[in-house]
Amino acid sequence: MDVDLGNLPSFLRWGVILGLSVLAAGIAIEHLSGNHLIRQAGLFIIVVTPVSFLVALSYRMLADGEYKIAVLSLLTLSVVIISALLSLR
Amino acid sequence: MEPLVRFLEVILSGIGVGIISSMAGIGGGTLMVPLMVLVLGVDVKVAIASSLLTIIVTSASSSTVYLKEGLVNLKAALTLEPSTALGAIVGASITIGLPSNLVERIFGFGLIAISLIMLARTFTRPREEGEVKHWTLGVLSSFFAGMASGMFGIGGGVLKVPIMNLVMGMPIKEAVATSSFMVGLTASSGSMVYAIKGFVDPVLVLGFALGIIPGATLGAKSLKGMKSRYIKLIFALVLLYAGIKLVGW
Repeated sequence: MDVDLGNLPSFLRWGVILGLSVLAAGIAIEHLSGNHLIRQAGLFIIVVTPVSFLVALSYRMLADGEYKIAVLSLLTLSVVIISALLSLR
Repeated sequence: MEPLVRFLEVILSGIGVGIISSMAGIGGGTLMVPLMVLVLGVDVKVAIASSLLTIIVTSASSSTVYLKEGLVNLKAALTLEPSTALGAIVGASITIGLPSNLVERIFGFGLIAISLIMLARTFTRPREEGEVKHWTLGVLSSFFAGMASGMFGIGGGVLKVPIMNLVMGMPIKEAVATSSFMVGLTASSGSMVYAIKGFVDPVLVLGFALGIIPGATLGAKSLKGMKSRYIKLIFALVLLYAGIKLVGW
């Protein structure tokens, strides 16, 4: 692969670290006060991290003129979002 | 005190999964779900959903390294991923619509099939070099790999790597790295369906994620000097046994 991603891959690692930290705090808060919103936010961050990476990747590839990778990335993103929305029905 | 003991139990199980999966060279999903169901007594749908979320964490960790090293074939990953993600969402929707006891049996059959694939791979020589071809076949088979991921809560690397390496002719190192990147995206698609329906157990996700990462490091260190082929063989036989037990034979 001759595409330079720079520091973009670290987005994935930091995304899940953030998600796990929020999840841990959320579990503790839920145990103490019964509020489950922060716990849900932690799960949400983990689930959307790979999808958000695709958004960042598309943006980076468009900026670098790598249109093929950008289009493929946006295509994957649309399939995931449309299918998830359809599964809500 | 009981929730803390339970949490420690989950972390220890995660360490075990990390050690074994890194020694056998596979993702943790195939081991996590049977462990949650047969040992921790978790409902199979909750186990599948929680396993998928844990897979996102482990995949993010490994694919960050692979992406930085330039080992991921982005063109292949992003060409195959739309059909894989679609398959994962279809698979997850099928599992949610079925009763838990039937899902357990189907999962058992799936596990038997995966263990047989693993046994076959133990005796197959992977392609070290080659040009990527048979794209249409790759896209079609990826749909089924995604479906297995969404249905059974596995990353699907056990299917994706042979598809890319043996069917599409991608060199094995590139196939492993590309699959590792795709696994996170596929698990994200499948887990969205389960998370929306409220099947995820956050304690399982956190405990397994915290256990697997040090477990995998420990497993990789203890692998030195051991023959990975025999470990894979033993692991495939353990999965076969777990599959038979889940089917209820």
